[in-house]
Amino acid sequence: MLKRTFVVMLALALMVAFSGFTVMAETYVVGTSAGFPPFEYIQDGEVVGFDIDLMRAIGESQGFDIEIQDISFDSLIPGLQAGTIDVVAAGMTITEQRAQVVDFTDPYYSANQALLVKEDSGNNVTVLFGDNRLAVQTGTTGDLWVEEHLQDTGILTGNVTHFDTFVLAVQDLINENVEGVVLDTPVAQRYAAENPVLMIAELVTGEEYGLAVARGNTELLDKLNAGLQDVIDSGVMDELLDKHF
Amino acid sequence: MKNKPLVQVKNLKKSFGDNLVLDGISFSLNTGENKVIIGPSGTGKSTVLNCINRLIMPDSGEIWLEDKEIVTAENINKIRQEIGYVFQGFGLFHHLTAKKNVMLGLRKVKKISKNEAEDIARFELNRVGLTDVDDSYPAQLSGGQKQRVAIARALAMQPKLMLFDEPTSALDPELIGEVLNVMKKLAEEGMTMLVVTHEMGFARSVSDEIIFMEGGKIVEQNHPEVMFKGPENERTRQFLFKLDDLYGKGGE
Amino acid sequence: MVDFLSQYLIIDIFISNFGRLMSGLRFTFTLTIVVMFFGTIFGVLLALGRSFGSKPVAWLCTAYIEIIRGTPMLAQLFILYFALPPYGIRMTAVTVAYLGFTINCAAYQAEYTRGSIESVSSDQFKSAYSLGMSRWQTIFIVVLPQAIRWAIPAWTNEFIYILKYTSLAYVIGAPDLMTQGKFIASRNYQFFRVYLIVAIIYLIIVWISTWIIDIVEEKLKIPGFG
Repeated sequence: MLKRTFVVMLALALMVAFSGFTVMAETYVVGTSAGFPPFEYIQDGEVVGFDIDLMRAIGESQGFDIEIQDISFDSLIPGLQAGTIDVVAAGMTITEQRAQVVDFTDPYYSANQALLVKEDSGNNVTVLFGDNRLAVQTGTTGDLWVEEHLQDTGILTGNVTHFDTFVLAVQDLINENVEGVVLDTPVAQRYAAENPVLMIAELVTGEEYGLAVARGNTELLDKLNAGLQDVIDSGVMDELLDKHF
Repeated sequence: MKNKPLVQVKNLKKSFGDNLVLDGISFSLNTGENKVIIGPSGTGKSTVLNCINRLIMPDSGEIWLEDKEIVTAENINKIRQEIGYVFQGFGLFHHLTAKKNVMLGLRKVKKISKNEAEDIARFELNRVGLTDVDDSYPAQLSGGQKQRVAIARALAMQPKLMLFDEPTSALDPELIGEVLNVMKKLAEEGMTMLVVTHEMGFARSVSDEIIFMEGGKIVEQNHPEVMFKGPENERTRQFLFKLDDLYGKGGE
Repeated sequence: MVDFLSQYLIIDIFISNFGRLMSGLRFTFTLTIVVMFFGTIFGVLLALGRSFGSKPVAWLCTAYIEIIRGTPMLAQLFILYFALPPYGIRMTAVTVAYLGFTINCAAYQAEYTRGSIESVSSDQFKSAYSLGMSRWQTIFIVVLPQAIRWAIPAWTNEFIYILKYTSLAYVIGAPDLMTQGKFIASRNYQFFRVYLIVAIIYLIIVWISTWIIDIVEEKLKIPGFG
């Protein structure tokens, strides 16, 4: 009697254990950096946004689940290199330099850089010149643009503060510790809508965002590109754009 | 010889919580006199000494040093300069050499110049029989040497009265002698001393009077010969008999 | 094999970013020294206040120490830099770094010092008083010199901690060694190698500092003490 019960229990346990294997789909770790609305931001304690929805849609199309990891922007590429994350979906601009260390999908969004100043400060685009202070997020194209076009040329002599996230950069602007913040246009618009800051200039850079995977991870790259195409063709992309913009 | 006693203790009372440690202690010391307080542990012998230099504040009573009353004195620091205090734990300042230990009070309290203080320090260290320890640190000295430095330190302040609170209780037997010898010498030189000790030999041969305390009261006080040969009180007899048993008649 | 080794080749990065790295190092080191100096002085005062001050003073010192030690340093930096400006108190990131770390250091130094003050036996007070010294004379001439010698090992530990914890300054954008490292890595994407260099630099500085502090400790040693 005891022996039979034992066998039955063992069988049940094994069934439960192995059932997991068959039901489980592939899960990829998606690295992102909240603080970049509407692409990724925190709402009610969760990371949400365009990039998140896009990854979910691609996952649905290609048959995988995603797990979000929210870290600082400049930790994303190291994460791919180390293998702690599989995909980066963080409004990351495709650049030649970055393409040397990671692989990008086809572009899924295009944007420019914008300049934020504090409401009622009376400041305009001239904060990009001279003794003014700017804040940027470390490692973003805005950061690199300011360095290459303003600092290296000597046009901007003031200090540029580098923060881990735009949330802090904008807070610094509101606190009047800097005169301007340079960041991607769609994000600037979102911050301006919810904070006492104004978007007063756009720097046309014609950047394009792509999803990134570790160099040489062609299997995942192909999946993502296929999924992306699927999302565009099926009209889901338009839905998402409508939803967030 | 002054008519008025140097030290007068009148009806000293002190409790620690519910414990009545001193229950009306009175005695006096004339200049040049030396008295030894004996008795069972915990009877308040140390407390008497600690009240005299007000390291402990009495509950009631008076303590007179010449014409100054100590319990109600405003500037106790000044009075303490006139009372030397040597105790069981030596209390040497660990971070200073022997010489600097002796000099500290002179420099910081009496504001004496460095050179003068150094001379006094050397003199006092010599007086207690220490010639080679000037620049040694307390941790490098033996117990007997440490206590003698402590005595030199107290003497350097030119006190009118020296209090000794079980000065040899923490010493190895072979080191007790050197300290007692110094104390004997001081007594011979006319220092007024009040000593709490178990060293019966010293008490018998050096003191002018022995005070036996028990239960917070003075049970008997008399000349050493009387105390040792024929004490009036039964309790005194019992106590001394026991000590004699332990240490042998005459102590050391 | 060459590929593997080249992962560890860091000299080229070190040389091409020498200026930045040195600037970050200078900031970090200066910050640490200044913070230790003022933090220790302030810490000793706090310890004295807590051990010997009047009731209200002791209470204030204790409250300060407990609050600062009980909250994360990062939170303290954040509050000082981001939360105060709306109330009119605006400081640069550099000022906040100096102020914030000093405030923090003082609290920890206070606790180490208090521990060693309390380990100085009461016998020392007895002797000092019996010579006619006042309470505060005793504290400064007898107790503190001994307590400080006991506290030195803990203090030197704190120095090493501060040296490494200053790396938190990157969060508020102060230009310390870590910030510079992040900056360099965000441009050349050589994250592993850049952070390896940064870690090695910290290590070297810690070694040198420890070596110097050991020498100082030796000089201050008293036979049989500590």
